[in-house]
This record gives sequence, structure tokens and C-alpha cells, in this order.
Amino acid sequence: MAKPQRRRRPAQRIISRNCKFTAAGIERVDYKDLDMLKQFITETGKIIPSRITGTKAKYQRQLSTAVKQARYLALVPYCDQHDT
Amino acid sequence: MRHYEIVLLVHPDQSEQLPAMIERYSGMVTKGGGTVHRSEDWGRRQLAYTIQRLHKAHYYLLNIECDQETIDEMVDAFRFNDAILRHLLLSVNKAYTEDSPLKKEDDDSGKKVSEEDVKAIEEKEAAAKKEAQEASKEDASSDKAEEESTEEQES
Repeated sequence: MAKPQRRRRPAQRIISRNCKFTAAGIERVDYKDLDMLKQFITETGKIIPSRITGTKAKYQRQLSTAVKQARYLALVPYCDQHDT
Repeated sequence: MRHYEIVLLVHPDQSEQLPAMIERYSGMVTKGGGTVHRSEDWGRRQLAYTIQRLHKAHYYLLNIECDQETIDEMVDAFRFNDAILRHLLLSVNKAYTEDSPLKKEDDDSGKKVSEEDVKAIEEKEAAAKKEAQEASKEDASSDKAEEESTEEQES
């Protein structure tokens, strides 16, 4: 009888409830750690909101500055439409 | 005395001058009574987007401890150095001496692929330019009537 529960949004990304930075015991989010940064930006270059990734507010603030620093240094793109 | 972290983006054609430049800058730091804690060469890296129409740049990381006057002098020097495309200056709270993740990354074989990518992109651009030039030449040489007739044929 019971209908299967309707999803609020299509399952594009796995919503994680635990913060990767807290789990790893990171002191300061580093703009030089590209492998780590790339987990938190989309293909279009946007920063993924913490409600999706589950990042703690403290680390999300650090992450946002880290991504912006990496963008300035051309380590990470600003968007996917750079005229390359 | 404060701790600073500097990243320099150097023009790839001028990367032979980089050791001399680094020597000059670290000379400035030590002259002002500071110390260089970390000095890392990341090599030529692919840029995520073009800067001054360049696809690659030579990255260099410096962690130093110095006073305000020295850092002002250094930033001035970066501005007036044409070989430096960009610089990032951060004040940090301690002396970092361990290798950064990017340096380790460079040891991997991923570097070659990026170089090939750059070549491919440059070749494509060159080909596109040639095509554009040829097309413009053809347009200039052919009469308007001919163009019109070809358009009709196409339609």
C-alpha cells in the first residue's frame, strides 16, 4: 500500500553528512592541495555548497578562500568558458 | 617580523632567469634580517585559463620571514619585473618547511600529458588561424557575383 517515498531532487550528487576536513583533522584548508580542492568544485568550476558536501561552516569558509586563491593562480578555473 | 607565503607565476620563456631572480629576492630577505624557510620550484605548469595569452607558466613558492619594509620592497620588485605574470602574497602564522602537495605532484608522470595538451591546443589555434587567413584571401579574390552564385547553388 505504502508508496515509495518521493525524492526531493534528482540524485545528482551523494549528500554527505560528515565533514571531510574534520575527519582528516586538517588545521587549515590549503589552496595548494588541488586533489582535495577539486572534490569541492563542480565541473563548471563552482564551489559546492556545504549543505551538499556536509563540510563544517569553519572549513567551508576556509575552503572558499582557498578556492579563490587557487583560481587567482590559475590552478583551478573560474568557470568552464575560458577562451582557451 | 612576520611569516609570508609568496607564489610567483613566471613567464615560461623567461624561466631560465628564475634561479637568478630567486637568488636576488632571497638576498633581499636575508639583507633585511629575515630568513627563507621554504623555497620550492613547481616547474612549468598548465594554466587553468590563459594569462596574457599563455597556456603555461613557471610556478615558484617562497615561504619567508621578514619585516614590513622588505616585503614592500619585494612586492615593488615583482610589479616591475616583466617576467612575473602574477604573484600571490599571503601572511601566514608560522614557518612552513615541509614539501607542499604541488611539489609532490610534479614528481608524477602527469606533467608530460599537460605539455602535449598545450602543443595540441597551440597547433589547433595555428590551424584555425591559417584557415581564417585562407578564407579571407579567397573572399577578397573572388568577385561578388561568384559568391552570390555559389550561395544560390548551396541553397
